[in-house]
Amino acid sequence: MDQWGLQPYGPPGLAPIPTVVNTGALQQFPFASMAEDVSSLSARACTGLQDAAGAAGQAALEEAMPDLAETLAVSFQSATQSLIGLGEALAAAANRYAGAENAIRRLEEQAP
Amino acid sequence: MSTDGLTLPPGAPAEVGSAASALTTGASDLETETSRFSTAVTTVLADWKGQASQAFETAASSLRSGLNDLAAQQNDAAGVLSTYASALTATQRAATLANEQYEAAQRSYAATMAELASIRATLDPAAASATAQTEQQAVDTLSAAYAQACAQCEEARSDATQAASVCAATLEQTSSVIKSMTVHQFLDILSGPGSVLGAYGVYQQVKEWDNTLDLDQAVATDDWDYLKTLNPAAYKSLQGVVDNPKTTSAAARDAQQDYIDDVLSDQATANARAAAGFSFGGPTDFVGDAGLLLGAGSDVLVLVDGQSSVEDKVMAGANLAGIGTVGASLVGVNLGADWIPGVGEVVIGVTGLYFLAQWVTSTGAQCHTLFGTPLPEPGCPAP
Repeated sequence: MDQWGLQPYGPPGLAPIPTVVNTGALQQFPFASMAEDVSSLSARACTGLQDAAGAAGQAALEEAMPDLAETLAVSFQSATQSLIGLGEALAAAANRYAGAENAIRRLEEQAP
Repeated sequence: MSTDGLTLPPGAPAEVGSAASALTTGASDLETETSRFSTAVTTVLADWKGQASQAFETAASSLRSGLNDLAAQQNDAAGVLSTYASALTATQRAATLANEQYEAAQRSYAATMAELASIRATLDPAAASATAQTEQQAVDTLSAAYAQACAQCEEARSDATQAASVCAATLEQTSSVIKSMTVHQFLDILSGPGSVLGAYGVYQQVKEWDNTLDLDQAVATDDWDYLKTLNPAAYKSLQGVVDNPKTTSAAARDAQQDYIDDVLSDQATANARAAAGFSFGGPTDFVGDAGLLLGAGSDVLVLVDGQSSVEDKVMAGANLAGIGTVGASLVGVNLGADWIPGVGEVVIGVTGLYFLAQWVTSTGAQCHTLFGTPLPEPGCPAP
């Protein structure tokens, strides 16, 4: 296996064509459920802060707490998007590698 | 909140404490989620090595760090809110105690006034001056109690305001840290490695395509000045074989062909690596997928080339369609084939590899030379 994680592979008579192993593991990464969980955590944290802002009894906190809630919401949203983005990247890699593997299989079938 | 003009520090510490507890629980849940994320990343990376996986690992590591930081900031916010809730509870308790003491003073004053009224009812002249003095003392005591209660309540309110100010400043600081973290970390981890890797992929594709053209040209023209630079160690070995007086011409020819096959094989592997490049999804995929447009250009040339075979045109068209499908997904256009995830990539991969195989085969079918001298082969010009 070389630095790309690719193993020299290919039918006789053709140049080695790289492939990877276990694309299934890439496709099964639980990004979607994690993104949902993080989003849910965000909702709870932000709602708690928003609700308690009025109970703080001080003007400074009545501003600071909703601001923190909003910041947390944005941050959690970014984290959720990051998880989704990584999931997309992983799925794209898995699809691309799977496509290469399919192509290799076709060439194997066509090889003399 | 007030009692007979004495105002207590405002606020509901129980609700603030509840919000702090929710933040603490949320931070703990986030830490658990981060741990789950780390385990999943470790599992994926166990079977996936190389530059693409390293880029993924870098992004995943940054996200893990960001999530941990986010949990830490939540804990900090929960801590300062909890401290404020405690301070608010303490100041409200102090103010309440001051009020209770003032109420006790009021009751004592009322009792004293009632007793004095009873004494005055006896109409004893000797007691009159004594009751006046006692009445004055009672009034003074009540006034002092009121002043003390007011001072204590004011002090409690001031303490609560001070605690709120410190708490708000810390929360603002926490917000500021999270904002900088959000801007510079969560977004960067997507755009950074994605852009770098995408740019790297474009660079690799262009470079390898350029190398392929150079190699193709060098093999076709027997440009050994170029060919020998591709694998100096193997070329030195080839020279050793050729210079050996015991080497037959057939063996020398085979050694030369082996060298050419090796450099062709290396180039084919490099092409395939570049074609199997990894890029991030979403907007950041743009840079990486821009390389596809380069492939589209060559496909168009094949399609319009009158010398191309029908098979070449079919495969070029399919490759171009695949590129179009992926390209369309970049701008959000849904084509008929785009409903299958990765279909564009598969089409590009299959047809791209067809051209690769065809190129290797056609290159290997030509007449050969030994350092520029034609070899005696059937169907080839005589040396």
